[in-house]
Amino acid sequence: MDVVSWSVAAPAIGSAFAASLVEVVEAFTIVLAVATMRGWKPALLGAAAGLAVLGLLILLLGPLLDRVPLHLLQLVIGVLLLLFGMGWLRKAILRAAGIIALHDEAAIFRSRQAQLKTGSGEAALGWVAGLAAFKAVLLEGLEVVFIVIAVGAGRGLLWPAAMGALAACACVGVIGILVRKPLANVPENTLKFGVGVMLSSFGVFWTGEGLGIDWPGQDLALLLFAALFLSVGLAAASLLRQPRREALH
Amino acid sequence: MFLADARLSLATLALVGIVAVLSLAVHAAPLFAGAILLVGCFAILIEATVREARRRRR
Repeated sequence: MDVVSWSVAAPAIGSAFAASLVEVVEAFTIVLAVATMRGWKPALLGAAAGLAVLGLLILLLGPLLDRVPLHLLQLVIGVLLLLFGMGWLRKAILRAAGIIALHDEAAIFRSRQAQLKTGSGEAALGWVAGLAAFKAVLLEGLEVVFIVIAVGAGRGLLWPAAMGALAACACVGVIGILVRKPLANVPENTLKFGVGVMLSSFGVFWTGEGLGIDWPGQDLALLLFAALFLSVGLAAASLLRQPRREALH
Repeated sequence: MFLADARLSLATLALVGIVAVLSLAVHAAPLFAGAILLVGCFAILIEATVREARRRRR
């Protein structure tokens, strides 16, 4: 890839990597809980089944993307990105302000372990455990696929975005195999804040393009949107944090 | 994914609808419509976070 292409592909790869990292960590936590309580066989079988269903969906639905008119695709993806990005950013702001608790992978891991401990019948529990792994991989995987499509479709950047997502899966997989504990040290809220900013910025950009708005500076407008969303997010988190400090004095 | 804050989602869809009308039906200046979209998103985000913060502090 030449220098010009890298400058276009890099945001897609980076966005897909960061957003996918959060989803893959969540799926990994559940698969690890299943493996710890019920063994690696149901965990890996469930995860493999989830990946197989995901692969089938991509193979069946992927080619349909090329048949959708470009402006319509930009508009639909832009709106979905806005909904997704603003939802993530809202939660990240509330967590940064201390209004809601930070996402705790270790607590989720313990909770899943407790759920898998109860009940009777080893064979039935094996199925339940495998199903938990299957659901986790399928649901989080669907969000990764959506992120890849949203970030890459319509601009010929599906493969760079997919590469970013695959890199995230590989990172979590390798670290997970080495550590074999919930990845509790991933700064999840910081990542979600950044990803929320990026997805919201892409959302505004694509929605505008889909409605026929030619943003000044084209792709450079994304940087401006990201800076503005980041500023608004940080300002909101700071302001929401203040009433608690005042209450303490 | 989108139902965590239904009001935020509905407000965002309404904003996109308004910008679509401005852009495609009224033929407003594209940058004006774009500015409405951007500022509207900030307003929706701030309203959603402040509303949730007030709800949890009660």
